[in-house]
Amino acid sequence: MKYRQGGYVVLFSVGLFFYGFVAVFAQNNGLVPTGRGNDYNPDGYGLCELVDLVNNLILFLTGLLALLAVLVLIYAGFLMVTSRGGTTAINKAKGLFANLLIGSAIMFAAFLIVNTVLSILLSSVSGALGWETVSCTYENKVGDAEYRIQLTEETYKSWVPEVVGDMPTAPEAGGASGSCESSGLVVGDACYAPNRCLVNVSSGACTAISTYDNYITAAASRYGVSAEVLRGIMITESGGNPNAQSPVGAVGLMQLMPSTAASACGVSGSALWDPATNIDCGARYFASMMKQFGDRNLAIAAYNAGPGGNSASNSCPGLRKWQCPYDSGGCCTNGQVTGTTCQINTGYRETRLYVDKVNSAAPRCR
Amino acid sequence: MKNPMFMLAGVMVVLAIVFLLLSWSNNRSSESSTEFPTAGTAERPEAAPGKRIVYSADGYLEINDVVREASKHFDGDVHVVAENSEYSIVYYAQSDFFLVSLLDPASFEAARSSAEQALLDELGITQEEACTLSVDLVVPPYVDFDRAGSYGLSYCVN
Repeated sequence: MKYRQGGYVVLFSVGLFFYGFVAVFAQNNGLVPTGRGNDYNPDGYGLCELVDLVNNLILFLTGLLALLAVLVLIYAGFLMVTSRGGTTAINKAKGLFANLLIGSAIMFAAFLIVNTVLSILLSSVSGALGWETVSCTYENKVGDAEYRIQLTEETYKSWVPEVVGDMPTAPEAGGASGSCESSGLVVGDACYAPNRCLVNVSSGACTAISTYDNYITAAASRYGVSAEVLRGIMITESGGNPNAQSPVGAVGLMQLMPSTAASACGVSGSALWDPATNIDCGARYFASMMKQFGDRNLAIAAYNAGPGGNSASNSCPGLRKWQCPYDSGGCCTNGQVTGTTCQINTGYRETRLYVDKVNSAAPRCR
Repeated sequence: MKNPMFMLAGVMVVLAIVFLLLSWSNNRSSESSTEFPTAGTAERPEAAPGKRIVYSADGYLEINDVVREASKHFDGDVHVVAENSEYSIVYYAQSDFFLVSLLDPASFEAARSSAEQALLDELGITQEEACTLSVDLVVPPYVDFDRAGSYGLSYCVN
C-alpha cells in the first residue's frame, strides 16, 4: 500500500511537471490559438478558439503519449531480453507491459469520452459534423466566432428554395416568405431580430466563388475583415458571377455601383469588370462600413442600402431605420411589437432580408 | 494473461487501433469527396480539334470548345459562353462548372426554356448529357431579390 501511495506521489509530480511543460510548449508552438480580434474588437477570443485549443492540446498530448509508450515498450523489451532468466527483471518487464496496456486503455477511454462529449455539444450548438473539424477562420471579431456556433440547423427557415423544379411565382403582396417577414410579426415579438430569414446556399454558388478564393482571402487580410462575410456578400450579390450587371448598373462579383467604386476606391467603372479589382474594392468598402459602424450587421446593411439606412428610426425607438418593420410609430415599443396595424416598412425590407442572407451564406462555402 | 486487467486492456487497445483506423479511413474518404472530381486520378483525355473535355458524372464528356468561342473572358479562367437579355451562360473552367443565369424577370419561364436550349446548342450535347454536367440554373439576386435561387435544369430528374 505504501508503494502504491508513493507511486501516486510520483505520478502527481510527473503530471505537474508535464502540465508545466505542456503550458510552456503550448505558448511557444502555436497550440494556443490566436484570437481573431482586429481594430474593432482587439480581444477576439470566443468559443471557437476554445475548441481549437482543446483540439490542439489533444493532438499534441496524443503524439507525446504515443512516443512515451514506444519508449516504455522498448525499455521493457530490453529488460526482457537482457534478463537472462532473472525473475526480477522479467517481472519488472511484465509489469511495464501491463502498465503500458492499462495506460493505453485509459488514454483511449479518455479520448473517447472527450470526443463524445465535444461531438454532442458541438453538433447541438453549431451543426458541425465533428468537433475536430472546427477551425476558427474569422478575422473580424469575437462575435463572428460565436455567431457560427449559434447557427443551428433548426434556426434555418426557408426563405428562398434551394432547388425547385418549377419556376417561382411572383411574390405575394407584403412578401412571399411567410413568418420570417415583418408582415408575420405578432404582438410580443421582437421588432427586429437577426437571422429570422435564412437561406441555404447552392453548391453551385460555392463552386463559383471558390474560383476567386485567393482574391477574397487577400482582400480580407488587406482590410482586416472576415473572408467569410465577403463570401456571403458575393453570393448574395452576384452568386459568384463576374459578368453580373444589375438593372441599376451595379457591376461584377461584389455588385458595386461605379460611383461608389470611384469614391471609395478611386477605380473607374470599367475596372470593376476585373474580378480582383472588384473584390478588392468591395472589401475596402465593407471595411470602411465596419470602421464607421463597428458592427458586422450594420456594416452589411450599409453595404446594401448605404450608410443612411443605419440612421435612428423614428417609428421604432432604439432601432435603425432598416431594422424597423414599420413605417409609422406606435407598433414598436421598447423593441417589442405592441401592435400590427402599422404599415410595413417595405423600403428596407430587402435590407433586412439581405443581412440575414449574407449571414447565412457566409459560413456555407468553406 | 490470466489477469482480467490484461484482458480488458488488450481489448481496449485493439478497439483503439480499430477506432483510429476507422477515423483515418473516414478522413481519407471525406477528403477525397470534397476534392473537385477533375482532380481525380484518371487523366483527362485529349479533345478533338474544336472540342473540349469536361468532367461529367459519367466520367468525361466532349463538348464544343466553349472557351475558344466565348464572347468574354474573365480572370480565373471564367468564360461567357452565351449572353443576351434573357440569360447568360458562364463557364468556370477550373471546376468545369456552368452557371446559367436568367435575366428577364418579366418571364423567367420563357427565359429558362431559351437558356436551357442555348446550353445544349452551345455545348453540342443532349439533355441527358447536360444532366451529367455540373450546372446551376439560377435567378440571380441582382435580377430579382425575392425570387433569387437555384432552380436546376427542368429536364433533369434531380
